Amino acid sequence: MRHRRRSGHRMVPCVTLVCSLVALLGPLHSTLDAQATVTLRVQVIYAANEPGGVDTRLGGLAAELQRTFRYSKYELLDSPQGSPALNQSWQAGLPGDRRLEITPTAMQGGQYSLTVRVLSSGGQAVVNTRVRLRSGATVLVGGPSHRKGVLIIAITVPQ
Amino acid sequence: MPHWVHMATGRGRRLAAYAAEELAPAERARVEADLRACPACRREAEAYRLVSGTLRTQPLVRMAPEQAATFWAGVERRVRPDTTALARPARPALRELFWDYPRLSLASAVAAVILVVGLTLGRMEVWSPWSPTAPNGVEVVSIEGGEDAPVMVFQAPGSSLKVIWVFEKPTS
Repeated sequence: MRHRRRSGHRMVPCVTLVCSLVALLGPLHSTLDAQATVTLRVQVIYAANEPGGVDTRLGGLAAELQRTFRYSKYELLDSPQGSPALNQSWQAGLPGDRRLEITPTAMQGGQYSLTVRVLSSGGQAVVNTRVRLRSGATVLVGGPSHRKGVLIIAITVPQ
Repeated sequence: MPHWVHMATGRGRRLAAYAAEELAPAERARVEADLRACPACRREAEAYRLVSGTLRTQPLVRMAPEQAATFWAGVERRVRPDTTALARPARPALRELFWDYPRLSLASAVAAVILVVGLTLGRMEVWSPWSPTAPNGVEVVSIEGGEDAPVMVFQAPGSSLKVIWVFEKPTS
């Protein structure tokens, strides 16, 4: 009995060593995770009350837009895509010398945390928002004026 | 095997037990095999043996009653709290803390692991409340408009789209 206790006692420093190594290697997981990229699909849409109808390139999004807004024209101006790494910013140009900046900050189980900023031509943030998006879901950022209407930016993390 | 490996695996205590002849025969044989391969361990075991032997061979000291009376008075005088010897707290060396209190060091390591795991998961936002029940899969966590550009979040009835709308002044 006495010898068994001493043998167990000798194991303790070994377990300590292993735990310390785990503690040292713990942050490695987040470092590896930081290398993951997030695929982003953006659609820049011009919406206005003027003749022109609905751009067929909008696909299924067109019906959702018509259910949400009362504009008569929806035109797809641009559809940039990017794959930024976590905590790295990705930018796309917008009409009017504006820029769209998206920074993925976390991903977990098919859900993504994004910081989205629309920057004016002077570099000021017109809107700065943080959203959580499920894979395949779309969030709209709209309102910046363009020509006789507004811009609507659809941001999707494709499945 | 290097001497420090012996110490890291808790064999310092075993050496002391070996020198004090407190080990079982099988354990004693294992220690002797280790000693043959580790000169530093042999020196350490010899030092333990010397101390152990000295303590066991010293004769008992007997004092006369008058010597005993002055002896205890002297002890009490020296252990008073205002003496300089007690002004310095006794601090164990780091090595003593690690080797002699392995459970303490184990608890520290476990606490470090929990701290690191907590920080890592916190950074990954595992603790933050995701909303898997959001019907459209979109949750607006925070929103901030620019100067003179108020913003609002809405979702039209019958639509699955969540909209962040900026009330920007029209450009002329």
